[in-house]
Amino acid sequence: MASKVKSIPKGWHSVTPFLCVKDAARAIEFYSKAFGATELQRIEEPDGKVNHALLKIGDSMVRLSDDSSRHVAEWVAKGWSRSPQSLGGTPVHFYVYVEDSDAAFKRAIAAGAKAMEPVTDKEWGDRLGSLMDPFGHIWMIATHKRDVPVEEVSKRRAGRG
Amino acid sequence: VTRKLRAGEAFVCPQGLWHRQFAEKSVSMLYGTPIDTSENSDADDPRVAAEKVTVPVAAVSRSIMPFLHIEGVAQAVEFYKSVFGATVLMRDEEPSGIVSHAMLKMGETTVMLSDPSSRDVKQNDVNRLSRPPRSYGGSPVHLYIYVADVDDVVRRAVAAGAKAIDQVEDRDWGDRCGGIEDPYGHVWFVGTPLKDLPAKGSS
Repeated sequence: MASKVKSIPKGWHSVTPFLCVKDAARAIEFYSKAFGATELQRIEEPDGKVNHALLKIGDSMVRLSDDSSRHVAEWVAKGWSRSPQSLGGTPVHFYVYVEDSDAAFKRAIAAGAKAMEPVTDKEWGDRLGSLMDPFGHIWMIATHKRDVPVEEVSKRRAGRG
Repeated sequence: VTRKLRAGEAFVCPQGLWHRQFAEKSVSMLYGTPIDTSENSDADDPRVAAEKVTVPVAAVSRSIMPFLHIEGVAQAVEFYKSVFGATVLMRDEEPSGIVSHAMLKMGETTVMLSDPSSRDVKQNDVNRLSRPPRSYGGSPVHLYIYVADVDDVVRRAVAAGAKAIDQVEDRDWGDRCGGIEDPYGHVWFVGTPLKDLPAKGSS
């Protein structure tokens, strides 16, 4: 079976997102300010464009590349990536757990994110707000408040409408 | 030996001792593992085997949880199960038969699937902002997933309808890795650390 992995490198999870953004240098600044990201690595091209960078947000690694870097140009040539701003949206959101979603949400908005949904208590036990970052990626910022069995959440959903 | 723990209690397990833990009801469990050689597996956890889990989100998601928009979540669940060995933590089926959301566990990462044609997603302010990758002509997010045998996983992915977009090769960052676009348009890089590759001819 494919799921039993011997050794995921230390500090990594099974799944790691790789984001394409317009102006990666500014995005790194935003993710640091808004989500407390730590920059672990930054590879620049001769013109200063971020070829790729490695950030840690909470306990998760996130990679990103600049839309106009040579790295992404290679991808685009193969037909498989551009930033949300060039594509007109994104098919992937990110759900992130933080200590205090109200505070994190406020910080992100102050750093330039756009609120999509204010922070409220959700039926699955999380206090959650959603926002679009200045680069078009969508984040759901949550703090877990109480445990609700998943069946119960499904039941409530089913009975709602 | 069985030890029953109550809320707030802790148990220290000596190094090298095989152990497992079951929750009687919905709980959050905090694990601290001080050594590198520890391996975690939920292979013999009856809750996972039965695919009927009452684990709260906080207990299963210790990392950023990608939320993928997919047309046909029901089929996608089968694809990720057979190709990546995902287990199903939650599956919300609407009376129409459309699966609006499914929560999967891939390794120790939780991944959510969301179907834009479902009633629930159409009513959700945030989820309805997004569509599946092909309606944008691509995705600005790639996902890198660690598996036990990259060659095997990529082969099976392609057999199950994925498109190979980057050949499986030994990479300078220490993994053997290949890229696929899954049948729903999401892009995955599949990797296995070089030192953990299965011996040739063993499979």
